[in-house]
Amino acid sequence: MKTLVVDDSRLARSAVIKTLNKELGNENEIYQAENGEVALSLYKKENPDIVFLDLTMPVMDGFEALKKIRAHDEKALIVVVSADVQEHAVSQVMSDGAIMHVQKPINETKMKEIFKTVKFLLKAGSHG
Amino acid sequence: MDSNIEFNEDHKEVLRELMNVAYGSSTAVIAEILDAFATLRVPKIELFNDEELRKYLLDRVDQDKDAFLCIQGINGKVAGESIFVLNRSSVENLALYFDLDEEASEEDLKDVATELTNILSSSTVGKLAEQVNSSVSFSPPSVSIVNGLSMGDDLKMKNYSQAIVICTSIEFEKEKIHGDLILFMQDQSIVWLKAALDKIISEYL
Repeated sequence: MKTLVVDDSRLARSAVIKTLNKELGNENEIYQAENGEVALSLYKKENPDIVFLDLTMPVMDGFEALKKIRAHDEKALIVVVSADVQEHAVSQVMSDGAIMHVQKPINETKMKEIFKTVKFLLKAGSHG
Repeated sequence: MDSNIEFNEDHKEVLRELMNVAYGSSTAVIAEILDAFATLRVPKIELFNDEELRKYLLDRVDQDKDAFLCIQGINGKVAGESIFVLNRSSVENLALYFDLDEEASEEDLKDVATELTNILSSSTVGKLAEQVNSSVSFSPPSVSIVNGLSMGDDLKMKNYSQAIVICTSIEFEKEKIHGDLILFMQDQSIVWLKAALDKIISEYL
């Protein structure tokens, strides 16, 4: 599986990758981006299967990156992993096409839930 | 500076992310109270001396007007003080959400600032402590109204000559409420925190 992990914090990216590897084993190809702008360009180049996206980032934040990635690929599977847990933020990213909003910090239980949802969506072929 | 209380870039990076998580949670609590939406910013982790702190604050407040300086003591492994700085117009705008009108007294405004500080600083610092497997308790906040220009003189880092300052802004743009949260930590707390951060660094970075 090709995964794009987007966060300005190395710690946060590392936490996602670590839990991701525990969930999937090491059979996944991981790309990292430190802001939305880099993420968008990497997405276009690598076409990952799933994106883990932070919201509060410099240069281009996750709100904008989400919209731009979804405009480029309306079937993009994007999981928002953020400390911004305001109701407005959650409802905005969900209406902009994220499949989930997960509160930081990520852990194994949350990652399992994410992949339950991802598998369901892929099986149903319903996202997009 | 004593190297025992100096943070390297890895420490700062990890602390920035822990603070981001902590501040995100507490901002959500305030957003719910105000039924509003705040723009979160990436926190700054800075080492400020007196003069640098003064300059930072002068950039952030209206120098011709009053500012509310809310201070709350933090006790535990992460001991020190949290300082929340709000300009007068922010407190007046905030007061409207607490059913106070534009004629609210100074005492009413101080009450509002105290309440916000109590919620914001205790939930932020509490969440920060939790992430490094610790816990803290708080002293009741005290609020003073100071002139923007003299704020640096009112906020002397008397006990924190070599303190690290974590600066985070809360910004409810539509409601015109802006504030800065600054944490001062005692030297022994910085030493303890550094060890806790080193554990996280060895595990993740």
